[in-house]
Amino acid sequence: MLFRKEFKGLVHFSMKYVKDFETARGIVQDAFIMLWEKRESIDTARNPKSYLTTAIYTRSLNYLRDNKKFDKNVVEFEEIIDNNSHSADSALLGKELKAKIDSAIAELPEKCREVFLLSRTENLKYQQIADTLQISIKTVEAQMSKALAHLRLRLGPYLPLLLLMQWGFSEIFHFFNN
Amino acid sequence: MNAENTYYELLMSRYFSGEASGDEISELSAWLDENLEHKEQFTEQKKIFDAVNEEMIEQQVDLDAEWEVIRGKISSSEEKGRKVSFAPKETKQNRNIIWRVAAAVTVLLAIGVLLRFVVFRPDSDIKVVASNDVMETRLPDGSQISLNQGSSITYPKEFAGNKREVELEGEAHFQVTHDASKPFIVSAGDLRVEVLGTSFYINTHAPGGKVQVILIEGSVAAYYKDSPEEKTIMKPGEQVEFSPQTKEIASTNQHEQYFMVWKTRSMKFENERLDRVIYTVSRAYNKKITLTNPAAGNCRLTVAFEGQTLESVLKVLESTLDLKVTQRGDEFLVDGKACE
Repeated sequence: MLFRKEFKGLVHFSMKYVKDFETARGIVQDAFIMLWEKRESIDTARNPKSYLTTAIYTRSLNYLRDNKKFDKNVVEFEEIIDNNSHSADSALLGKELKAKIDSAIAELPEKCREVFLLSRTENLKYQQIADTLQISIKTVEAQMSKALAHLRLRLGPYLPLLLLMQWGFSEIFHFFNN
Repeated sequence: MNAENTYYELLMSRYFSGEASGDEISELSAWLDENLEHKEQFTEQKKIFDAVNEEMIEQQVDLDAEWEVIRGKISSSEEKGRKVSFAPKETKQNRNIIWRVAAAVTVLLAIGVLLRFVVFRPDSDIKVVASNDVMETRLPDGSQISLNQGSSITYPKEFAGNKREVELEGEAHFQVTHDASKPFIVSAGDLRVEVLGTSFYINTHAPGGKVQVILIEGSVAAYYKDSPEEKTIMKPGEQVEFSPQTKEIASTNQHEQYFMVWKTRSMKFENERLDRVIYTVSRAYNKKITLTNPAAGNCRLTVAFEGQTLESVLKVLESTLDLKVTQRGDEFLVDGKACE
């Protein structure tokens, strides 16, 4: 079924724009509902996935515009990065990367891991994390940044190298060395 | 790493976590344009977030629950009495998907109709019961609700009229979509909690028959249904306990620390009394845990748990305070001596 096969991927796709899990989830739900509601009027010969993707893309950007979070430059740059990552071997890299992520997260100091997981797996906002853990927002930010620095250190070598082609040779040198 | 770098690192984290404001995004955009090194840093950060998010979605999204939500919304916009049939098999082709969705929806619709007659009230309100686990649900206006296990929420298929009214039984966290023209009103027994758009928590089963309300952000007004003019206006971070019997209202600026523990299962105790720890753990895992010797409740301990299983939490308690934990049916018994 289309739903089972595509739902998670589409949530991830929307999240690349909206950056918020619950929002992305809502947008994808709505797109599936719209696909159903408009089943009579849309061309069935067309791939329904491309229909969903288009709807989700439009809605994600609308969400950014409505919330005054739309910046053409950033969105376009992110799209360039994403387009360059969709190569044949990205799935393989993905599997390896996942295992690395899990172990890198496990290595984080306890407090840092706690904050990072609340943000990334419980989808809590910084303010909610601060409230839940009874710490300040500043501490939440600092712990997030610490967690990311560690992940970058551990995952850097495993991140897809695909952007390099576009950026040219001279940048390769700096790519994983900062 | 210099101060400017740290600043933009934080900004990027905020951006990728969806915390950045429009102004901050513009600032980030300008910084990106400055040079290639900035673009590289951004790319790296993005890839980490993408990978982590993908993994999170993989683990967190419950396809059956998502399908339920979509089905609920579709059936609410469908006319009654449509009938099709359902084939819940995985298939490789996408060509007939419209037909398949139609089929799926209609059988579910039929089940929905059945459920409505058997379970739901005849005025076709939707009742969501979190029977086996903590549940996330989305209301027709986009508001998000986390329901603790054993709690339920009832809401109309559509928020018609100029109010959004829902009924809560138990414990829930609300993230309400802002709509100034339609106040959002939660009925918790005789108590009414009215908001425009905000994040808050209600527990209708707080100890002592009280209704506990904690405001996380925004503003809410709470009142009893027979005296709507006597409103209690709450401020963020405030906790108010209402006693429906006596109409007593107790408010504090220091809200209970672990009110979301059933969702996060993250607990950190510092020199905390054992009875408080056991209370919190039992709330986190929704299991009855009894201290067979109440005097042992005065023992104190410092410990942190993060998403562990109940068994491992109890093992830690056992070894730290020399307790004995036994299971009797669904209940856990904790035995130990009182501390000096």
